[in-house]
Amino acid sequence: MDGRTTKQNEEREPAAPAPAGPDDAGLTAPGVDLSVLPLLLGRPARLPGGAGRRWLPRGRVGLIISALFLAVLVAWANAPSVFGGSDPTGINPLAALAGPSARYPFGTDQYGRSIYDELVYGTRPALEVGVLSTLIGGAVGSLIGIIGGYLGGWADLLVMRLIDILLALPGLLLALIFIAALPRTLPNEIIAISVSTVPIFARVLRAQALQVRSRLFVDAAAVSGLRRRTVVTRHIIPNCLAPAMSLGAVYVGAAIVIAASLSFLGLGPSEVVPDWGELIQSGQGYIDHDWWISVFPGVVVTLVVLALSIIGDRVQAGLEPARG
Amino acid sequence: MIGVVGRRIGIGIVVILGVTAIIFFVLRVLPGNPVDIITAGAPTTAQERQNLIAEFGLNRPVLAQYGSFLWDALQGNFGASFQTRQPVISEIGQQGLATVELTAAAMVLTVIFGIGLGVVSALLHDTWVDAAIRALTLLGSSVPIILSGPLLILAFSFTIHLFPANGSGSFSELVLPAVSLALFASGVIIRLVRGSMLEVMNLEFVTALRAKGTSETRIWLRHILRNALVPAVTMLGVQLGGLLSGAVVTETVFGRQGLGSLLVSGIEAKDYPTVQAIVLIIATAYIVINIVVDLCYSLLDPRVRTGLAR
Repeated sequence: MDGRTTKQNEEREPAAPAPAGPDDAGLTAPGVDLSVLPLLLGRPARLPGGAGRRWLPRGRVGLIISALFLAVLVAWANAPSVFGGSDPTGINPLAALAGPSARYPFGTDQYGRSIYDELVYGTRPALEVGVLSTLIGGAVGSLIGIIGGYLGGWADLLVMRLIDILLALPGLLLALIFIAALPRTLPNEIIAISVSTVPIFARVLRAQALQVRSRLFVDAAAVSGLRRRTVVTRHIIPNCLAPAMSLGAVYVGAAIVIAASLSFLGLGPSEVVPDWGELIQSGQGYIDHDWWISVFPGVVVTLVVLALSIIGDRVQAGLEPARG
Repeated sequence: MIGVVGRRIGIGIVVILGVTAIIFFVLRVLPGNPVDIITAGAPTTAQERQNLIAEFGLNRPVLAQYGSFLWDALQGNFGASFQTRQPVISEIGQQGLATVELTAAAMVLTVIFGIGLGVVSALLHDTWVDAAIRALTLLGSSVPIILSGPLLILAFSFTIHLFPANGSGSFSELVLPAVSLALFASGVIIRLVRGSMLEVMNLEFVTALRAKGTSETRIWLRHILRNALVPAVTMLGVQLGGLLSGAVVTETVFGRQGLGSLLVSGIEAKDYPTVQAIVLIIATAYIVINIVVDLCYSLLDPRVRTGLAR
């Protein structure tokens, strides 16, 4: 096989300077590992080992496009009236079901509303759900995972069973139980989706904490007489942040998809208008002739997921050398 | 081996109990009263409301309600629907088959896409074929079902009239929903099969096999693929959860009958017995299948059988 030649090619490429390892981060500055930032913006770190290990292309182009796209969304979310006209919900029967044109870049729906305007106005709630539920669920899940992984013993056993139980209700199902119980509002939807992200973060962070715990500098810290709490906050947690961040980027996308799917099922928050998922749903009945109603909002959701997984993958790639 | 099996089943029982507790207490303890929803729109007296609450057993202490829910569920009795007053289980029986059919079809497609494309991608790694497979996989697993569904309908029902846009029953009505679910689920498998084959490829035992003159085909199929399948099989078990929860959305997109549609209408009507029963049945199926998958390891990986692994 041509495995050998490829490997040589990879080796010939100049190795990027290794980012500051978690060891440094743990012993010097507590808090966010800033070594991730240059990786988000600039040159990728090359993985040691193996041909064809890469999954996503590591070129800079994809990363820049993803970042730009997310920047556009943030702009939409913060100033919808600048980008999306003044009245996204105004009905105009004369313009109903018009195809994409200069005036209506993504066409209009059955009530003559501009799909583009509705999309722009729907960005803010969509991003709110994605970011907030990932932050809340990620923080809770990470904490649970780190506690289990670091303490071990009974605590770990408890954490593992909790993860098993929550993971037995995959994705939408766990969120659906909360949706069934709670009134349909945006904060409640955020709670429901947060809960469903908890087990994933707990599982990944537990594994990470287990691994960090066995490192020499943790023993050194304990031997030098630091209290257990200090070891956890200054050494264990900072060293667990990197995978949490990479996972977080990906799960913002997943949370946005769950939210859109809930709205599609008619179980979304009632006060959110316009809503991405509802837009996609409302276009379903018109898919044969007026495809743009469903397709443009759907493509935007897809691009969000794509952009965030490219960024999440890069964050992870930048941090992987620490594994060796 | 028997110890491993017993332990795995024990954990499974604990997990199922935990699931019942979560389902039950989230529905009963959080605010939101089903009687309000059911009586919404119709003028009701306080007495009628009391009667409803008593009929649904909502006036009993929560723990007592949980106890009888568990006891009844063990006997396969999930209570009567708040909406239709019919036993929940009979409706689930009617609709469940459609969901099993959809999930099974999607699983078969996921195995074919996942392992097939994963192997091709690994064999031809770092060629344009590999790059194309990876690009398509990335795209496929990023497209949510609420978009891939309508797109498949647009392409295969309205542009070329190959498969019907909705309905459930015949085989041709199963194709598009199953494809849409499998597109979403197979990405992880492709990625995993490719990754673990490439990892195994560089291990020393492969060099040893080459040195003793084993044919390249035999090395790839009999040794590398077999070793790479262990993580893939685990992931298939995990992906089943994605398929089951994805089925809820897929059924709605394609207007199919099934547990998903039943669950969504149950949630809308705050029909707790229906919601409890469906979620519990899906979760139990998922847990049981994953235990079976875990036990199947030993067929693929002899180290598990002898207790040497992990």
